[in-house]
Amino acid sequence: MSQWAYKTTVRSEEMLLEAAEVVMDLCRCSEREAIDRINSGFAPDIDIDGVLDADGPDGLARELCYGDWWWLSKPPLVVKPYPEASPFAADVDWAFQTDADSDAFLKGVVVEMARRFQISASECIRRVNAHWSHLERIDSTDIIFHELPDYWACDIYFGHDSEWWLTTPSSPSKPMPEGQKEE
Amino acid sequence: MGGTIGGLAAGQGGWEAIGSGLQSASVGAVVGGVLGAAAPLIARAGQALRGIRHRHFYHGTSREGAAGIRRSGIDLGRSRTKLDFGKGFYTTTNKAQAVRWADRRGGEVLIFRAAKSALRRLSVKTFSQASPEWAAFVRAQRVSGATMHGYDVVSGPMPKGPGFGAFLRGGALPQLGQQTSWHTLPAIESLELLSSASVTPVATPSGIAGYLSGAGAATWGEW
Repeated sequence: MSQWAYKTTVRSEEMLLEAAEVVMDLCRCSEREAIDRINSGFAPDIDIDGVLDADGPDGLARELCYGDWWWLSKPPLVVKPYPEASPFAADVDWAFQTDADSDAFLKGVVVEMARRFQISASECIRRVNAHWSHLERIDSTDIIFHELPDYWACDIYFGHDSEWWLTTPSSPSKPMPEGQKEE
Repeated sequence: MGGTIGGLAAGQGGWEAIGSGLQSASVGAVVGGVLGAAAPLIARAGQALRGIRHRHFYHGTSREGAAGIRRSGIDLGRSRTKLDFGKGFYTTTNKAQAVRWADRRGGEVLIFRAAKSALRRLSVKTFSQASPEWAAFVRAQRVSGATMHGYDVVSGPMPKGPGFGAFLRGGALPQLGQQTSWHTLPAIESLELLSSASVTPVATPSGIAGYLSGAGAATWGEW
Protein backbone atom coordinates (compact mmCIF):
# COMPACT_ATOMS: atom_id res chain seq x y z
CA MET A 1 0.00 0.00 0.00
CA SER A 2 1.32 3.40 -0.99
CA GLN A 3 2.50 5.75 1.73
CA TRP A 4 1.18 8.67 -0.30
CA ALA A 5 -2.27 10.23 -0.03
CA TYR A 6 -2.36 10.78 -3.77
CA LYS A 7 -2.88 8.66 -6.84
CA THR A 8 0.69 8.16 -7.98
CA THR A 9 2.65 6.65 -10.83
CA VAL A 10 6.07 5.05 -10.64
CA ARG A 11 7.53 8.36 -11.76
CA SER A 12 5.65 10.50 -9.25
CA GLU A 13 6.48 8.02 -6.45
CA GLU A 14 10.15 8.57 -7.20
CA MET A 15 9.72 12.33 -7.35
CA LEU A 16 7.78 12.39 -4.09
CA LEU A 17 10.59 10.49 -2.40
CA GLU A 18 13.00 13.12 -3.74
CA ALA A 19 10.70 15.84 -2.39
CA ALA A 20 10.58 14.10 1.00
CA GLU A 21 14.37 14.11 1.17
CA VAL A 22 14.43 17.84 0.47
CA VAL A 23 11.77 18.40 3.14
CA MET A 24 13.80 16.39 5.65
CA ASP A 25 16.82 18.50 4.84
CA LEU A 26 15.07 21.87 4.98
CA CYS A 27 13.00 21.13 8.07
CA ARG A 28 15.57 18.92 9.78
CA CYS A 29 12.75 16.50 10.42
CA SER A 30 12.12 12.78 10.31
CA GLU A 31 11.07 10.93 7.18
CA ARG A 32 7.68 10.37 8.80
CA GLU A 33 7.13 14.10 9.29
CA ALA A 34 8.33 14.85 5.76
CA ILE A 35 5.82 12.37 4.32
CA ASP A 36 3.08 13.80 6.55
CA ARG A 37 3.91 17.33 5.42
CA ILE A 38 3.62 16.27 1.80
CA ASN A 39 0.45 14.24 2.35
CA SER A 40 -1.34 17.07 4.15
CA GLY A 41 -0.25 19.71 1.68
CA PHE A 42 -2.85 19.11 -1.00
CA ALA A 43 -6.28 17.66 -1.58
CA PRO A 44 -6.11 13.86 -1.97
CA ASP A 45 -7.62 14.07 -5.46
CA ILE A 46 -5.01 16.51 -6.75
CA ASP A 47 -3.12 15.59 -9.91
CA ILE A 48 0.17 15.10 -8.12
CA ASP A 49 1.94 14.21 -11.37
CA GLY A 50 0.88 17.58 -12.75
CA VAL A 51 2.07 19.38 -9.64
CA LEU A 52 5.44 17.66 -9.80
CA ASP A 53 5.77 18.36 -13.51
CA ALA A 54 5.16 22.03 -12.84
CA ASP A 55 7.20 22.58 -9.70
CA GLY A 56 9.60 19.64 -9.54
CA PRO A 57 10.41 17.84 -6.27
CA ASP A 58 12.58 20.68 -5.02
CA GLY A 59 10.00 23.37 -5.76
CA LEU A 60 7.22 21.36 -4.18
CA ALA A 61 9.31 20.77 -1.06
CA ARG A 62 10.23 24.43 -0.70
CA GLU A 63 6.63 25.55 -1.05
CA LEU A 64 5.52 23.09 1.59
CA CYS A 65 8.30 24.10 3.97
CA TYR A 66 8.42 27.85 3.39
CA GLY A 67 5.06 28.65 1.77
CA ASP A 68 4.06 30.19 -1.55
CA TRP A 69 6.44 32.88 -2.83
CA TRP A 70 9.10 31.54 -0.48
CA TRP A 71 11.82 33.32 -2.47
CA LEU A 72 10.51 36.66 -1.27
CA SER A 73 11.11 35.78 2.37
CA LYS A 74 14.02 37.26 4.22
CA PRO A 75 16.96 34.86 4.56
CA PRO A 76 17.73 32.73 6.41
CA LEU A 77 14.35 31.23 5.57
CA VAL A 78 12.26 29.96 8.47
CA VAL A 79 10.19 26.82 7.91
CA LYS A 80 6.47 26.74 8.54
CA PRO A 81 5.59 25.02 11.81
CA TYR A 82 4.10 21.55 11.54
CA PRO A 83 1.41 20.76 12.49
CA GLU A 84 0.11 24.21 11.57
CA ALA A 85 0.54 26.54 14.53
CA SER A 86 -2.54 27.77 16.36
CA PRO A 87 -3.00 31.53 16.26
CA PHE A 88 -1.44 33.16 19.29
CA ALA A 89 -3.78 33.55 22.23
CA ALA A 90 -3.02 37.14 23.15
CA ASP A 91 -5.70 39.71 22.48
CA VAL A 92 -4.95 42.07 19.63
CA ASP A 93 -6.21 45.61 19.51
CA TRP A 94 -7.40 45.65 15.91
CA ALA A 95 -8.32 48.95 14.30
CA PHE A 96 -11.66 47.45 13.22
CA GLN A 97 -14.24 45.12 14.68
CA THR A 98 -13.65 41.40 14.24
CA ASP A 99 -15.34 38.12 15.07
CA ALA A 100 -13.67 34.91 16.24
CA ASP A 101 -12.97 33.68 12.69
CA SER A 102 -11.54 36.91 11.38
CA ASP A 103 -9.51 37.47 14.56
CA ALA A 104 -7.92 34.05 14.10
CA PHE A 105 -7.37 34.67 10.39
CA LEU A 106 -5.74 38.05 10.97
CA LYS A 107 -3.51 36.57 13.64
CA GLY A 108 -2.53 34.01 11.02
CA VAL A 109 -1.54 36.87 8.72
CA VAL A 110 0.56 38.33 11.53
CA VAL A 111 2.27 35.01 12.24
CA GLU A 112 2.99 34.51 8.54
CA MET A 113 4.35 38.01 8.08
CA ALA A 114 6.57 37.72 11.13
CA ARG A 115 7.94 34.36 9.98
CA ARG A 116 8.58 35.43 6.40
CA PHE A 117 10.08 38.84 7.01
CA GLN A 118 11.44 38.36 10.51
CA ILE A 119 9.80 41.37 12.00
CA SER A 120 8.06 41.60 15.35
CA ALA A 121 4.42 40.66 15.82
CA SER A 122 3.71 44.19 16.99
CA GLU A 123 5.07 45.62 13.74
CA CYS A 124 2.98 43.12 11.78
CA ILE A 125 -0.14 44.12 13.71
CA ARG A 126 0.62 47.76 13.03
CA ARG A 127 0.92 47.05 9.32
CA VAL A 128 -2.33 45.06 9.22
CA ASN A 129 -4.16 47.77 11.14
CA ALA A 130 -2.80 50.48 8.87
CA HIS A 131 -3.76 48.54 5.76
CA TRP A 132 -7.39 48.16 6.76
CA SER A 133 -7.80 51.10 9.10
CA HIS A 134 -10.59 52.51 6.90
CA LEU A 135 -12.80 49.48 7.56
CA GLU A 136 -15.31 49.39 10.36
CA ARG A 137 -15.47 45.63 10.54
CA ILE A 138 -13.88 42.50 9.16
CA ASP A 139 -15.87 39.35 9.90
CA SER A 140 -16.06 35.78 8.68
CA THR A 141 -18.08 36.78 5.61
CA ASP A 142 -15.41 39.19 4.43
CA ILE A 143 -13.88 38.85 1.00
CA ILE A 144 -10.37 38.84 2.46
CA PHE A 145 -11.05 35.16 3.10
CA HIS A 146 -10.73 34.59 -0.63
CA GLU A 147 -6.98 34.59 -0.10
CA LEU A 148 -4.78 32.77 2.40
CA PRO A 149 -2.70 34.42 5.14
CA ASP A 150 0.45 33.84 3.04
CA TYR A 151 -0.95 36.14 0.36
CA TRP A 152 -2.02 38.91 2.71
CA ALA A 153 1.28 38.77 4.57
CA CYS A 154 3.13 39.54 1.32
CA ASP A 155 0.55 41.97 -0.06
CA ILE A 156 0.48 44.07 3.09
CA TYR A 157 4.24 43.90 3.64
CA PHE A 158 5.28 44.86 0.09
CA GLY A 159 2.19 46.80 -0.96
CA HIS A 160 -0.11 45.59 -3.72
CA ASP A 161 1.08 48.12 -6.28
CA SER A 162 4.63 46.80 -6.05
CA GLU A 163 3.41 43.71 -7.96
CA TRP A 164 5.58 41.59 -5.69
CA TRP A 165 4.19 38.36 -7.17
CA LEU A 166 5.92 38.99 -10.48
CA THR A 167 9.30 37.99 -9.08
CA THR A 168 10.31 34.36 -9.43
CA PRO A 169 13.01 32.18 -7.92
CA SER A 170 15.01 32.71 -11.13
CA SER A 171 14.48 36.49 -11.17
CA PRO A 172 14.57 37.34 -7.51
CA SER A 173 14.77 41.10 -7.77
CA LYS A 174 12.64 42.03 -4.84
CA PRO A 175 10.50 45.09 -4.31
CA MET A 176 11.61 47.09 -1.33
CA PRO A 177 9.59 46.28 1.76
CA GLU A 178 8.10 49.25 3.54
CA GLY A 179 10.04 48.51 6.70
CA GLN A 180 13.35 48.86 4.88
CA LYS A 181 12.31 52.18 3.40
CA GLU A 182 11.86 53.56 6.86
CA GLU A 183 15.34 52.62 7.98
CA MET B 1 -15.31 55.91 -20.19
CA GLY B 2 -15.86 57.76 -16.98
CA GLY B 3 -18.97 59.76 -16.23
CA THR B 4 -21.84 58.69 -14.12
CA ILE B 5 -22.61 55.16 -13.25
CA GLY B 6 -26.26 55.62 -12.58
CA GLY B 7 -27.06 52.88 -15.04
CA LEU B 8 -25.30 50.47 -12.74
CA ALA B 9 -27.94 50.69 -10.09
CA ALA B 10 -29.47 47.56 -11.51
CA GLY B 11 -29.54 44.37 -9.49
CA GLN B 12 -26.57 42.40 -8.31
CA GLY B 13 -25.41 39.04 -9.47
CA GLY B 14 -26.05 36.98 -12.53
CA TRP B 15 -25.60 38.28 -16.03
CA GLU B 16 -26.83 41.81 -15.70
CA ALA B 17 -29.15 43.33 -18.25
CA ILE B 18 -28.21 46.98 -18.33
CA GLY B 19 -27.56 49.18 -21.29
CA SER B 20 -26.08 52.63 -21.73
CA GLY B 21 -28.28 55.59 -20.86
CA LEU B 22 -27.63 57.18 -24.27
CA GLN B 23 -29.00 54.23 -26.20
CA SER B 24 -31.94 54.03 -23.85
CA ALA B 25 -32.84 57.68 -24.42
CA SER B 26 -32.63 57.32 -28.20
CA VAL B 27 -34.95 54.38 -28.31
CA GLY B 28 -37.37 55.99 -25.89
CA ALA B 29 -37.51 59.23 -27.89
CA VAL B 30 -38.15 57.61 -31.24
CA VAL B 31 -40.68 55.12 -30.07
CA GLY B 32 -42.31 57.57 -27.67
CA GLY B 33 -43.20 59.95 -30.50
CA VAL B 34 -45.22 57.24 -32.16
CA LEU B 35 -46.86 55.47 -29.30
CA GLY B 36 -47.13 58.13 -26.61
CA ALA B 37 -48.02 56.58 -23.27
CA ALA B 38 -46.61 53.22 -24.22
CA ALA B 39 -43.11 54.69 -24.57
CA PRO B 40 -41.86 53.89 -21.05
CA LEU B 41 -42.81 50.27 -21.47
CA ILE B 42 -41.13 50.05 -24.82
CA ALA B 43 -38.06 51.87 -23.52
CA ARG B 44 -37.76 49.29 -20.79
CA ALA B 45 -38.07 46.59 -23.44
CA GLY B 46 -35.28 48.34 -25.32
CA GLN B 47 -33.12 48.25 -22.22
CA ALA B 48 -33.74 44.55 -21.83
CA LEU B 49 -32.86 44.01 -25.48
CA ARG B 50 -29.51 45.73 -25.05
CA GLY B 51 -28.95 43.61 -21.95
CA ILE B 52 -29.32 40.62 -24.17
CA ARG B 53 -26.54 41.91 -26.40
CA HIS B 54 -23.97 42.60 -23.69
CA ARG B 55 -22.84 41.26 -20.37
CA HIS B 56 -21.32 43.49 -17.73
CA PHE B 57 -18.34 42.65 -15.57
CA TYR B 58 -16.76 44.42 -12.60
CA HIS B 59 -13.09 44.43 -11.65
CA GLY B 60 -12.06 45.63 -8.20
CA THR B 61 -8.45 46.73 -7.88
CA SER B 62 -6.14 49.32 -6.36
CA ARG B 63 -6.17 52.89 -7.65
CA GLU B 64 -2.81 52.38 -9.30
CA GLY B 65 -4.00 49.13 -10.84
CA ALA B 66 -7.08 50.87 -12.22
CA ALA B 67 -4.97 53.73 -13.58
CA GLY B 68 -2.67 51.24 -15.29
CA ILE B 69 -5.59 49.54 -17.01
CA ARG B 70 -7.03 52.86 -18.14
CA ARG B 71 -3.62 53.92 -19.42
CA SER B 72 -2.36 50.74 -21.07
CA GLY B 73 -5.20 48.24 -21.10
CA ILE B 74 -5.23 44.83 -19.47
CA ASP B 75 -1.83 43.16 -19.33
CA LEU B 76 -2.19 39.42 -18.75
CA GLY B 77 1.53 39.22 -18.06
CA ARG B 78 1.04 41.07 -14.78
CA SER B 79 -1.37 38.50 -13.39
CA ARG B 80 -0.50 36.28 -10.48
CA THR B 81 -0.32 32.57 -11.07
CA LYS B 82 -2.07 30.07 -8.82
CA LEU B 83 -5.43 31.77 -8.96
CA ASP B 84 -8.73 29.88 -8.87
CA PHE B 85 -9.09 29.56 -12.61
CA GLY B 86 -5.44 30.08 -13.43
CA LYS B 87 -3.39 33.08 -14.47
CA GLY B 88 -5.69 35.68 -15.95
CA PHE B 89 -7.71 38.85 -15.54
CA TYR B 90 -10.48 38.42 -12.97
CA THR B 91 -13.88 40.04 -12.94
CA THR B 92 -17.21 39.36 -11.36
CA THR B 93 -20.80 39.88 -12.36
CA ASN B 94 -21.54 40.70 -8.73
CA LYS B 95 -21.13 44.45 -8.31
CA ALA B 96 -21.16 44.31 -4.51
CA GLN B 97 -18.37 41.74 -4.51
CA ALA B 98 -16.21 43.95 -6.73
CA VAL B 99 -16.87 46.90 -4.45
CA ARG B 100 -15.78 44.93 -1.40
CA TRP B 101 -12.63 43.70 -3.13
CA ALA B 102 -11.70 47.20 -4.24
CA ASP B 103 -12.39 48.49 -0.75
CA ARG B 104 -9.89 46.03 0.72
CA ARG B 105 -7.32 47.62 -1.57
CA GLY B 106 -8.42 51.23 -1.16
CA GLY B 107 -9.13 51.24 -4.85
CA GLU B 108 -11.62 51.40 -7.65
CA VAL B 109 -14.09 49.28 -9.52
CA LEU B 110 -13.74 49.17 -13.29
CA ILE B 111 -16.87 48.38 -15.25
CA PHE B 112 -16.54 46.43 -18.47
CA ARG B 113 -18.94 45.02 -20.96
CA ALA B 114 -18.54 42.28 -23.52
CA ALA B 115 -20.76 41.68 -26.52
CA LYS B 116 -22.37 38.30 -26.34
CA SER B 117 -21.64 37.84 -30.01
CA ALA B 118 -17.93 38.15 -29.14
CA LEU B 119 -18.25 35.81 -26.18
CA ARG B 120 -19.81 33.19 -28.41
CA ARG B 121 -16.62 33.09 -30.48
CA LEU B 122 -14.52 32.31 -27.42
CA SER B 123 -13.86 29.05 -25.65
CA VAL B 124 -15.81 29.56 -22.44
CA LYS B 125 -15.93 27.14 -19.54
CA THR B 126 -18.84 27.72 -17.19
CA PHE B 127 -19.26 26.09 -13.81
CA SER B 128 -22.91 26.64 -12.95
CA GLN B 129 -22.43 25.29 -9.45
CA ALA B 130 -19.72 24.31 -7.01
CA SER B 131 -19.47 20.81 -8.42
CA PRO B 132 -16.73 18.26 -7.73
CA GLU B 133 -15.35 19.15 -11.18
CA TRP B 134 -15.19 22.81 -10.19
CA ALA B 135 -13.50 21.99 -6.87
CA ALA B 136 -10.88 19.84 -8.59
CA PHE B 137 -10.30 22.57 -11.17
CA VAL B 138 -9.79 25.27 -8.54
CA ARG B 139 -7.54 23.11 -6.38
CA ALA B 140 -5.37 22.17 -9.35
CA GLN B 141 -4.97 25.79 -10.46
CA ARG B 142 -4.31 27.06 -6.94
CA VAL B 143 -1.70 24.42 -6.23
CA SER B 144 0.18 24.45 -9.48
CA GLY B 145 0.13 27.65 -11.46
CA ALA B 146 2.13 26.25 -14.35
CA THR B 147 -0.56 23.80 -15.45
CA MET B 148 -2.89 26.06 -17.40
CA HIS B 149 -6.13 25.08 -19.06
CA GLY B 150 -6.91 26.08 -22.64
CA TYR B 151 -10.05 28.17 -22.12
CA ASP B 152 -10.35 31.80 -23.12
CA VAL B 153 -12.83 32.53 -20.34
CA VAL B 154 -13.86 30.66 -17.21
CA SER B 155 -16.89 31.54 -15.14
CA GLY B 156 -18.16 30.05 -11.92
CA PRO B 157 -18.22 30.16 -8.13
CA MET B 158 -15.51 31.92 -6.14
CA PRO B 159 -14.54 30.17 -2.91
CA LYS B 160 -14.06 32.30 0.17
CA GLY B 161 -14.65 32.09 3.87
CA PRO B 162 -12.72 30.82 6.86
CA GLY B 163 -12.56 27.30 5.45
CA PHE B 164 -10.79 28.27 2.25
CA GLY B 165 -7.40 26.86 3.22
CA ALA B 166 -8.93 23.57 4.32
CA PHE B 167 -10.97 23.46 1.12
CA LEU B 168 -7.82 23.65 -0.96
CA ARG B 169 -6.51 20.62 0.92
CA GLY B 170 -9.69 18.66 0.25
CA GLY B 171 -12.01 19.98 2.96
CA ALA B 172 -15.60 21.15 2.79
CA LEU B 173 -16.74 24.04 0.65
CA PRO B 174 -16.40 27.53 2.06
CA GLN B 175 -18.76 30.36 1.20
CA LEU B 176 -19.10 31.28 -2.43
CA GLY B 177 -18.98 34.35 -4.60
CA GLN B 178 -18.89 34.71 -8.39
CA GLN B 179 -15.94 35.15 -10.70
CA THR B 180 -15.30 35.30 -14.42
CA SER B 181 -11.70 35.11 -15.56
CA TRP B 182 -10.17 36.07 -18.90
CA HIS B 183 -7.08 34.19 -20.02
CA THR B 184 -6.21 34.98 -23.63
CA LEU B 185 -5.75 38.00 -25.87
CA PRO B 186 -8.99 37.36 -27.79
CA ALA B 187 -10.79 37.18 -24.46
CA ILE B 188 -9.27 40.46 -23.25
CA GLU B 189 -10.07 42.13 -26.56
CA SER B 190 -13.73 41.30 -26.09
CA LEU B 191 -13.83 43.45 -22.95
CA GLU B 192 -14.75 47.10 -23.36
CA LEU B 193 -14.01 49.43 -20.46
CA LEU B 194 -17.12 51.52 -19.84
CA SER B 195 -16.30 53.47 -16.70
CA SER B 196 -14.76 53.29 -13.27
CA ALA B 197 -15.73 54.32 -9.79
CA SER B 198 -13.69 55.04 -6.69
CA VAL B 199 -14.62 53.16 -3.60
CA THR B 200 -14.33 55.92 -1.07
CA PRO B 201 -13.56 54.49 2.33
CA VAL B 202 -16.09 55.47 4.98
CA ALA B 203 -17.57 58.22 2.87
CA THR B 204 -20.92 57.84 4.57
CA PRO B 205 -21.78 57.12 8.21
CA SER B 206 -22.39 53.52 7.30
CA GLY B 207 -19.33 53.32 5.10
CA ILE B 208 -19.37 50.88 2.25
CA ALA B 209 -22.37 49.10 3.73
CA GLY B 210 -24.38 52.18 2.86
CA TYR B 211 -23.67 51.69 -0.79
CA LEU B 212 -24.31 47.99 -0.67
CA SER B 213 -27.72 48.54 0.85
CA GLY B 214 -28.54 50.89 -2.00
CA ALA B 215 -28.48 54.04 0.12
CA GLY B 216 -24.91 55.18 -0.34
CA ALA B 217 -24.45 56.07 -3.98
CA ALA B 218 -22.15 58.84 -2.75
CA THR B 219 -19.47 56.26 -2.06
CA TRP B 220 -19.16 55.88 -5.82
CA GLY B 221 -17.12 58.65 -7.33
CA GLU B 222 -16.47 59.77 -10.84
CA TRP B 223 -13.15 60.23 -12.50
